Amino acid sequence: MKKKIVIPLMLTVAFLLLAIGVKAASPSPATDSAVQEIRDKVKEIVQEKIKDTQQGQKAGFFGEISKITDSALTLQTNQGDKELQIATDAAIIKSGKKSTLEDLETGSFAIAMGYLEDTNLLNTKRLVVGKKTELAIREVAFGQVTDISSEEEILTIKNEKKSLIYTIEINSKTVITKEVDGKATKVKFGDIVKGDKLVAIGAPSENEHKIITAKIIRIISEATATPEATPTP
Amino acid sequence: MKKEILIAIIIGFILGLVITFGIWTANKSLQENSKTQKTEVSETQPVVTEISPEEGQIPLIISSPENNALVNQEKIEIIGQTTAQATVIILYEEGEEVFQADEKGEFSQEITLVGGANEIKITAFDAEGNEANKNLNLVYSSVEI
Repeated sequence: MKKKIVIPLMLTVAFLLLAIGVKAASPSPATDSAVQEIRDKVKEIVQEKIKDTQQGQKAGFFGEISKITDSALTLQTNQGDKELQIATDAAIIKSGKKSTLEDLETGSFAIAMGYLEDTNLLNTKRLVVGKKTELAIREVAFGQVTDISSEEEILTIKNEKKSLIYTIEINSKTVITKEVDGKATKVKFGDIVKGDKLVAIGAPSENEHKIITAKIIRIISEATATPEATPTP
Repeated sequence: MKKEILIAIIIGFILGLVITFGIWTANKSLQENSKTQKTEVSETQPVVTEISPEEGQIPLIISSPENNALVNQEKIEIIGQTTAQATVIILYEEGEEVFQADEKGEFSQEITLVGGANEIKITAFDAEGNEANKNLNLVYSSVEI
């Protein structure tokens, strides 16, 4: 009779222990939310501190004017929209001449200088409107040399991470360097071998591959020499 | 006797299963509740972008100058940190600089600004081709505001 009670009891206790184990192994939602709460609070404090530090700092924004109101402008920049609060004593210069807010047009390129009120809000003290200087487009390419055309002075490099193949054109102005004893040392096109990893900077164009007319080539790491086979007697 | 033992084992097994299932269900519903609460919180609070490098990327921090800084000097030092020995490229309005970060990943490079708007692109590559990019907008003006 005793055995009849003991056996089911033992089994029940065993499964209870198992159940407790399962519960302990799973992360407690209460701890999770507490950690998240602390993280959020820290982020909030850091953001506040950054905001406080930035506030009142001299800053400059530039971009295209997208909106004009009585005393404010919106600039469309390469880092998003920026609001400009135009101070009453602000100097507004358009094409080199003193101007007013009324003379400004949307679409014009403007450089605003002033004091940061917020990350995206500038108390503008000086606004210069004019043409944007268009600069040559340049591209940076990284890759491992897979082919060399010595006659045409063309390299083919492959960027494994991006699965991209670049054709690098070299001309008489191309500067090829590599790091020797911590210093950039000039090398010749002939010093580049298959397997070298390099960075090329230059003007981009495209056919089936990306083409870069290189202004600068920097050899990052050289191809590891494969050991020659030992001749067998 | 054998029959009694078998019944006892079955009863014990069923009881254990019931308890385990109960705890598992309770845990699941608690976790779902906490997820819903977290979603509600993230909807009302500003989202802070985590600065953790993604797959195929390396860290790149520019400590000076600050983005959108207004500077009154033509020459400026770009100071930052990335992976040790990474190749750093700075593209600026008047030229390009290619150099290597030191063994701590720190770097410092002087560049020349043009009057007005300066868009500066900083790229770093490690030997495996993992990369990082940062853009700096600087305004250079010698006029006092």
